[in-house]
Amino acid sequence: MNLPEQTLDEARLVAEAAAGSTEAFSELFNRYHPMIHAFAYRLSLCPAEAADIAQDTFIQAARSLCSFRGEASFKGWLYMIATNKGRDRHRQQVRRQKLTADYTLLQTSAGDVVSADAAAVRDALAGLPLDMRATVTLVYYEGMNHADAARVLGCAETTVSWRIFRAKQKLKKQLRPCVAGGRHD
Amino acid sequence: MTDPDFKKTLSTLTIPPVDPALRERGLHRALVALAQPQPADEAHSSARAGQPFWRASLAVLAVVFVAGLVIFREGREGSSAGQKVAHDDAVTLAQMQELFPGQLNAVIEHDGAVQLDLAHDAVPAVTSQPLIVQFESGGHRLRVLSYSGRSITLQLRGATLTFEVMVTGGGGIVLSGNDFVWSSTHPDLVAGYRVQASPLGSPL
Repeated sequence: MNLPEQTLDEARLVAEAAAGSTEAFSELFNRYHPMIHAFAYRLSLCPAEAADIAQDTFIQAARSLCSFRGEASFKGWLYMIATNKGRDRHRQQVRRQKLTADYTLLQTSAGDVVSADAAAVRDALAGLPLDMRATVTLVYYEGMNHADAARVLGCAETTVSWRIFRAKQKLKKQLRPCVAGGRHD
Repeated sequence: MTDPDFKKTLSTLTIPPVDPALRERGLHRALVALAQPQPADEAHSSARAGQPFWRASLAVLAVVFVAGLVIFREGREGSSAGQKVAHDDAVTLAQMQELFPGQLNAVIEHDGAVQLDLAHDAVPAVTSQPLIVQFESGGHRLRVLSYSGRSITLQLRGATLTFEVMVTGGGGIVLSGNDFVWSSTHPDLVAGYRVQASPLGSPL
């Protein structure tokens, strides 16, 4: 079976980076940073947190490259690290008793100018528990199937399906006025 | 709301652009991490509770070494030749590394005193590029001898400055702190200090 050229290229880059090549690691960083940053933003809903999570993800990836055995795709492995970093930061936030209100204040004060629809989506997502938000992000924004999302999240596929079902219910209910308003019904 | 409407609504959430400076800092910090040897089980450590605290507690122990001053300065006093200075610096660094194998982050000379920046725990010894970083401001000079990939903590005008230092593939130096990145190609002031850095043996 012939592997796609991009997969071979990625495997070569990962092997070279694991051997200490800064050029290979920089190439992987350039290739995946936008994707991980976008994922981190949808997870944290805060630009500053997203930058930190993305940074922590690549630092952790650099430290752990030697243990990456290619059982998952490199991209999936990065998502896995980013999810754990997002959880770590979320736990820290909770420990600091950062309430949702403070969090929202932080987001709006960060110069994050968004449309009314986008703000509604952001607020609706912010109302979901972190693991449910991570699941929605992987399935709806990153286009993963439930099995792949389950691998990244370290849970059963049925858990992903259940979370998606519950998240859709909640989000649709909350976003209904936004869609209605957008259509000027 | 239909599923297509739902997906369309979700897609209105746009991603804010990445700050190029933060992105560059992220890359530099990751490259510094890449240069440091890690235990094989590090992969799953990010989920471990208490890890950030432990890492923070690894923050460095600074020990004032009056005796080291003799070693550090003696060879330099009588000679202005750059090569001799670089040789003496390399000897000093190697001697301190022998005394504290795997623990030495930096040898710091400041106002006639020499301090050692030591990590709590030794890491596996690695051969990485020795280097020098010099901070200067208003006649004040602080010299730092270290190795590529080390994390260093300094006191500059009472403020604590922690950064990682790395030699790039092209022989340049990058200092990567929590809120700054300095590189020999973009030599901005750091905490009001002019910074010069080079691999040990190369002219500053």
